[in-house]
Amino acid sequence: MSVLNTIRIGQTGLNAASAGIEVTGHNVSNANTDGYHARTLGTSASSQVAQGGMWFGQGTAISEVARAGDELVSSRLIESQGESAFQSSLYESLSVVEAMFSETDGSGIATELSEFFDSLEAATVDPSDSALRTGVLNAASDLAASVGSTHSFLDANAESIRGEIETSLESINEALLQIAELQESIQTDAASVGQGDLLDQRDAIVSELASSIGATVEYGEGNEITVYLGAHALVNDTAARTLSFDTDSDGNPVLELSADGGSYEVTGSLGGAVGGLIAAHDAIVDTQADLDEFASTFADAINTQHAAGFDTSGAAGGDLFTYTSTDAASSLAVDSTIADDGSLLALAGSATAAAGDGDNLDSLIDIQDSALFASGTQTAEDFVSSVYSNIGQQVASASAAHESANASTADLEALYSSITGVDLDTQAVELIQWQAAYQAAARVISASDQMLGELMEMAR
Amino acid sequence: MIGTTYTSRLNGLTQAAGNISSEISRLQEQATTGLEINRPSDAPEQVEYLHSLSSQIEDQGTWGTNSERAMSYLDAAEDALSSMSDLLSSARELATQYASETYNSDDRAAGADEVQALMDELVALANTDVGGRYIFSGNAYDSAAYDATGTYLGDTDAPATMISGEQDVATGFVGSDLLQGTTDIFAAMADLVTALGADDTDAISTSIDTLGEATDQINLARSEVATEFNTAEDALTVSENMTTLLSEALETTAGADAVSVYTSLAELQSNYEAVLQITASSQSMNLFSMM
Repeated sequence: MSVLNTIRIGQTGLNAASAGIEVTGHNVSNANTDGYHARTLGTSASSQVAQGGMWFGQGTAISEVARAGDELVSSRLIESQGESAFQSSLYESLSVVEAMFSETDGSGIATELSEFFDSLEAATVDPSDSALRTGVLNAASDLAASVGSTHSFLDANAESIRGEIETSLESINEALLQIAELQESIQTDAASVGQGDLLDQRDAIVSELASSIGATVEYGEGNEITVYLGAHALVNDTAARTLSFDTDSDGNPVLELSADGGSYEVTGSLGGAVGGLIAAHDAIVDTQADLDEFASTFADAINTQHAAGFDTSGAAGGDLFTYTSTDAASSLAVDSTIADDGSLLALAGSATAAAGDGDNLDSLIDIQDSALFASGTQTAEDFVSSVYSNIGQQVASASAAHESANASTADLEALYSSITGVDLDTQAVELIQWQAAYQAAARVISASDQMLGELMEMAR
Repeated sequence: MIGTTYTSRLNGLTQAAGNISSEISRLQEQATTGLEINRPSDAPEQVEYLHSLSSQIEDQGTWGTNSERAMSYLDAAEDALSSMSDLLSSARELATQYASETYNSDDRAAGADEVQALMDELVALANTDVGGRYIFSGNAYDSAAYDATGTYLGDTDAPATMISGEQDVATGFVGSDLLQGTTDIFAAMADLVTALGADDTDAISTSIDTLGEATDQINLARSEVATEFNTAEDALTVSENMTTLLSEALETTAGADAVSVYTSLAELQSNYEAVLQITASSQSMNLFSMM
């Protein structure tokens, strides 16, 4: 054992302490970097050497720069991020749709429907009165316009959602490719110190994918992961698949995942923000179908009764409302001929009726209480209310689920951050420890140097 | 050791501030609109009830308006019938007068002219209209009910208007029923004119009784009109009361409690300021700042 060897041992301590301060500095510098995982310096005692029948240590060696992580918590967090993004996206999309159903400004289908029947009831005072007849026609036009504009509003929202989904696929596919490329780099640079940063980049992208499409992760050997969408692998090893957008014959969004020699549909597997958009699109389409059912059923009932009556000239009534069967709600309108001539309203019960005959008017009013919908259990007003209620229920459910998912995600993020994030207090203590270690190692070298100097002095 | 990183602490505070901010926005909307329920999702289970209340309020408004219009027609009918009753009384007095032996045929011929004038007035009253709407023409209210001879020209069905979900009220009458049902008031007058012209005292005496029956007929008609008027008046009162009650129910269900809203707003604003202060101070809460 020599004094020079002691100096070398001290040097290993200096190197380790210096590296420790470097790692701490890196951590502190990235304390606010999204996706950064704290590093810790791992050291181990260097191999001992035998001398004079005894074993002497050779100082310390840097064994690793470890990256903090927890696969279980990470997996749960990724799932939670997907769920949170799904509910947020659904809630935000449906909230926009719900605005059309608030009726706080005194307009909307429910209000216009009620006013239509009120106009008929008002006409009972004088069925021949042209002003009251015009009132009926105006109310009918307002109702048709309200149904049509609500349907068009929903159409515009559905189109906007489809556009949003299609646009988002570009960045999603890019993210999948980036993950595959990063996986390759991680494998290539497995032994290098830069691996931690690559893992941070990859995990940040995975987190984004979880939020955008509800992707999940399965951890494999080493640092390898497989990214899934439901049961379908999106990124496996260094290979990535791509998602493509299409619409079915009804205009609904369809997402397909590329596969060898073709593709298969994964629309139902999508979560995250895109999944929320698809769910919102489905809700909008369902509401549009309800409006179509309302428009056609209500118009048919009114038209049938109107045809049973007679106008002021004694002619049988024609259709009061017109619509096209393929697009009932958006095409609903008052017949253009009747709309221009209130005398064509068939309110009388017979062709030779006197001016005050409102027999057919009474029958038209009776439609207000007729259970035309839901297999004869709902009136028109009940049905419209149920459409509103359904939208409200979906938004309320999405809101509650969105709050719950956000809280759950926030808890998991806090937990994951506490495991992998940079705690400045901990780093401050680390810094003090490494500083002390550096000073101690320097003292060893200094003491050894003094010993060596004294030996040299003795030899002079 | 598991610690709380600055980032996670900041995220938590940001989320807390965001939650408070959302709640403040919600309460501000309630304060602005005065409504606790501003959209279906605020109370999906109440949507049908609220729509029903709004629809009922609209209905009550329409029924109230219909009642008022019906009352204006019924009022005109009552005025006309009251005047008819006076005319019949005058005719009866003339009949009593000319039935006396103290009058000669010339006097009775002059009396016939007087009664004919009353008859003309009676026909004019039977053709009473409100804004061109003839009250005693039945459903044919766009034309006069009688010609000059007292022949009915109207419809045999009476018009009615809706004053509640289950109730209609008359807005006109079938003259041939109301004025000529049990006793034909025009025939009674015409008979008297004929009797006076013919100087037939027996027939004149008979007319006294007939005109009495005609007066009874008019009184019966007035009673019928009064019943309809009362029905319309009651319906108007009911619609006004129901509108008030339904509006209160709507207010109770959908309205916001202003005191509660403003108290909660003040509390949340304090909480929000506290979170912002904590966020600001947490930046310097670490060991480095004390080294």
